[in-house]
Amino acid sequence: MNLFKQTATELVSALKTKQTSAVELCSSYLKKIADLNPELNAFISFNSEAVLKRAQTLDDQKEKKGKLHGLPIAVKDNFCVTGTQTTAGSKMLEHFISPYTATCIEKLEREGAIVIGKTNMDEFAMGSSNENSFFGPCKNPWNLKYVPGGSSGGSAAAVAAGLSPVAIGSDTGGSIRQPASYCGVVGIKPTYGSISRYGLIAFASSLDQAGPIARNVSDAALILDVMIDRDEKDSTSVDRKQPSLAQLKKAAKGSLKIGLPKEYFSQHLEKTTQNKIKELLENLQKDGFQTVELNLSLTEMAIPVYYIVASSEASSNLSRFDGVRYGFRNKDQSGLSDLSDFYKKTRSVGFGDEVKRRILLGTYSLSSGYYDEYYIQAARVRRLMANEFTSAFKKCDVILTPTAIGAAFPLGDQAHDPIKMYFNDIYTVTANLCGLPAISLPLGLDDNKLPIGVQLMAPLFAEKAMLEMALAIEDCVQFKGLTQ
Amino acid sequence: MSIKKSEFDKVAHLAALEFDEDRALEYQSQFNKILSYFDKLKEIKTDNVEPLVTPHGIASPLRKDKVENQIDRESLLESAPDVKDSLYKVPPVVG
Repeated sequence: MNLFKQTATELVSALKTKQTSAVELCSSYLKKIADLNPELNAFISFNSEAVLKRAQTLDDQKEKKGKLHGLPIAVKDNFCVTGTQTTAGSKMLEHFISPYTATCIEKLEREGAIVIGKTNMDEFAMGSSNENSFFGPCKNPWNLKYVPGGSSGGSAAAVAAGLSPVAIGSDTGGSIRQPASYCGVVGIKPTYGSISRYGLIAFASSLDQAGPIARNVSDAALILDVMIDRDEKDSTSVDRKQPSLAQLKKAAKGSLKIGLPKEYFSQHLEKTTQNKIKELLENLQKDGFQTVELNLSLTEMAIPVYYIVASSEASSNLSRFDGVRYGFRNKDQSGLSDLSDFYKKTRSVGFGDEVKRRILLGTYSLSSGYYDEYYIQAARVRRLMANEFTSAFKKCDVILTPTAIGAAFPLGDQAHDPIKMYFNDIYTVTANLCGLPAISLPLGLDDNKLPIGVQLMAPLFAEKAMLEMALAIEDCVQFKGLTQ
Repeated sequence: MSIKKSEFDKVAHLAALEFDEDRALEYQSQFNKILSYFDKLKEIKTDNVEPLVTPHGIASPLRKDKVENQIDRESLLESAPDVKDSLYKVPPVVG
């Protein structure tokens, strides 16, 4: 059996029937990580000894009850996992060892999953290319000269390259879906409040959500199903009965109506992506799925609204990095005239450029005199955007759009132009601003043999319908990933 | 909207960040480009629109106010840059 070709669902069943063991599976993946990671840089850290010890413990258990018993999972390095280095891609947390585990990771572990390593990311999840990592950029496994997307670039690259069957990412403005699209894998951002954020290092608390990255929709749904739950340690997590997502059937022909917002197919969209989506829609229409054109006229405002809201929340969340309680402290303590000088010395060296840019932007948007003009105006437009989506979902069951304006771009291409970089998130930020569930799945390859993705969005908590539609699209596209 | 150097310095101070002169000018110029791009938000009429702060609008259920799952003091202090007698140690900053 070639373990690397098996889906997570197949591996779970092979582990149950003892066709393989957790130790065999983890050893194979650890070897592949050791071989490929020096070039790919998808993992910031992995501890082979601890992984194999846990795998052995799981193999020794007589009853293999867990839904994920023995399955390796890569975890983005902004999730706390007890005893692991948890850096959030920042010098600020380079030597931070977490004393506790994030609730959603704990839930996966309780079902027998094994955290195989911690993946690379843009510093504090701020970026769309993984180039903002203190630990160097992760590369796109389809072409090492290209970015894997961001901020969960390491998680997407690890799954695409076959270094882990599945991975966990976090998505604040597209950070799961855009790298999934660039790496030819599936990524889900569930409804805001579905998954506990406890133990996920906060970037923007009203936007952050955890979610799975996998090679196909069923694998992603299997992981998502375990992660969703109310958690008393996250006051925004929702107590709600969710239909099981572990056993889904693809949407029956013609059963769902697909909305197509015309603003998402504007002049910004690259031709190949446009053509591939057109082709997909023709096939879906042949299968009886009706489509309806929508107007989401505020789409153009999504980037300013997102960057004001996200930066404002980040400036507040990142104020905790003060060089006192944990993380980095600048050793140079000369010429301190007050406490503020002490903080400045540490924060100015500990944070990278993009993080500083966003802290400044957020501080400005929240400061006296500009608060109404920027933050409050952005939050009001955010309400209008959410209202637009509510009206749109009266006309359709799911909304289909591109995930990104095109395929991955070359490393270094956009690193010096913040606005151009921000623009990468144009199609993904709306789901975060409005709390909607969204998924990106592979649509095909462009002329450079780089993957492009398609996105589905659904009403709040309508994950089931969204995933069933995704299964129908997956069946229609028949995408072959790198590991196939 | 563009901000002057003095305003930029004030924002940097509020954010507890410091920059040398060259970097400050570079950041200020980028900052102004970003702000002018963001100014298009002002075109939208939002009179009487309630700001949306948290997306799902579902009231948070409250839990009982009791202490649980405490992380012990020692493992928390292990992450601190400097510790003395089970306390965080910082350099003297009062003149």
